[in-house]
Amino acid sequence: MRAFLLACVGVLAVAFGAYALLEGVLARNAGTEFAVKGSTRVSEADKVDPRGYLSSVHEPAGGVSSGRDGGRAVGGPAKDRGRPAEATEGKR
Amino acid sequence: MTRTILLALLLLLGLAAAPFDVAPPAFAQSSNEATDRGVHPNPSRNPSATDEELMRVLGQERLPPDRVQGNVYLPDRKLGVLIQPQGRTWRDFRVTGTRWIHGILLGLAVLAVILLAVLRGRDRYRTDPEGRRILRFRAVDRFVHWMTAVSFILLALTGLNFVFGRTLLQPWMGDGAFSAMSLWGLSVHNAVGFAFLLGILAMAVMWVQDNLFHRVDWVWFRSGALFRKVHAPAEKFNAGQKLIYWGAVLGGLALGVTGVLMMLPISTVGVNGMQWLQGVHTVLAGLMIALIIGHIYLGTWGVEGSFEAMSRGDVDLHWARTHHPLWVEDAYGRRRPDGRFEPAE
Repeated sequence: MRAFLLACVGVLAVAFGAYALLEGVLARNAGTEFAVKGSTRVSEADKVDPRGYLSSVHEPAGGVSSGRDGGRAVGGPAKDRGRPAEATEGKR
Repeated sequence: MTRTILLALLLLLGLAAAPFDVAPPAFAQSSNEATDRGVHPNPSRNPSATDEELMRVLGQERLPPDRVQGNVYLPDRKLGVLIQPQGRTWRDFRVTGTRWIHGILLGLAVLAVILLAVLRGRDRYRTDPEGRRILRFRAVDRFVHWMTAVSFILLALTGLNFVFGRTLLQPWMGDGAFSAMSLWGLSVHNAVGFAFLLGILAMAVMWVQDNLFHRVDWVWFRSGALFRKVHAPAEKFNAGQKLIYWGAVLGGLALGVTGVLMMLPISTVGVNGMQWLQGVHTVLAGLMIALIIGHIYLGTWGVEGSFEAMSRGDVDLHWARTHHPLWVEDAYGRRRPDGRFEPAE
């Protein structure tokens, strides 16, 4: 059964090689590529909301801030929503 | 969270849909602005509904039979598909259909093995009186066979977990353990698949010459050797083994191709293509598992002495002359006139 044991080693070797390639190098490259694409996609021109929010990241229910809200606090308590950021500092 | 994402998507679609018969809202982009931003609406896919109509339709529990479409300002067009009707068909197949298909195929394979064991019994043999043995499979043959076999068993177990795991394992394993196991199972399935594909390719190249069908194979089929204990003339592989070989090679290659394509989601064949790939992959896998169950039975308990060919590499001379007389004569020379067998070399 030496051939069987060698075959088990062969399966492990190929599987680890494939795993390293798929989950390691390729996945990391794919992740980097996606991040680069994403950063290009999120641009000023993508704002379709006249209030200046990025529609793809703006969540009306609160809690998520696009970071491009022109100094207004998007998230946080409802009473602070729409007020200048400096007016809400230290309250969250 | 899902509801929020869905609402956001609906909002996006609704905001971006350019209505035909109503004035565009203040924030809508003109077509020139959209073109400037790299958004090029397809003239053949103009919006078929106003914002209000689109939102009303999307809110309904049952969708209308006609296609409803608008514009979305997303660079990736595939993300603009909110509801894909084929996806529901695929989901039903994935959740229910595959369980039935695999259940029936597995049941039929087990039934066939039981019938073979009852009708045919164990095919025993007398050993050569002088204890002579001849080489049937070289070390490299056995290595390739076991590499393919080990990887196939791992693939079958991890694959069957995708089909039956939620029903059979999750209830008593618990959500966390089952989730972790399935996640690792997916990685193992994806990685080990390459070892299986390598093995299948090697088998296809190394054993194709011995698995071409000849006239003698028809004689083997007509003798009913699969169901009765008769020993019809056979080459290195009998007709039944040749069928298993071609089933494994063609089925294995198809599984490999569909499997690799599924590792590259969407990028090669689109969403609908992925659904077809998954369907073909899982049905082929069920057929292969059923085929290999029969192969394992005949290669171990069903035909005494055959397992030694893959475990040791050599077989008893009398066994070889009983089951594969044409191969023995071809590879090792004919018997002498005095009846003694001497290898040609």
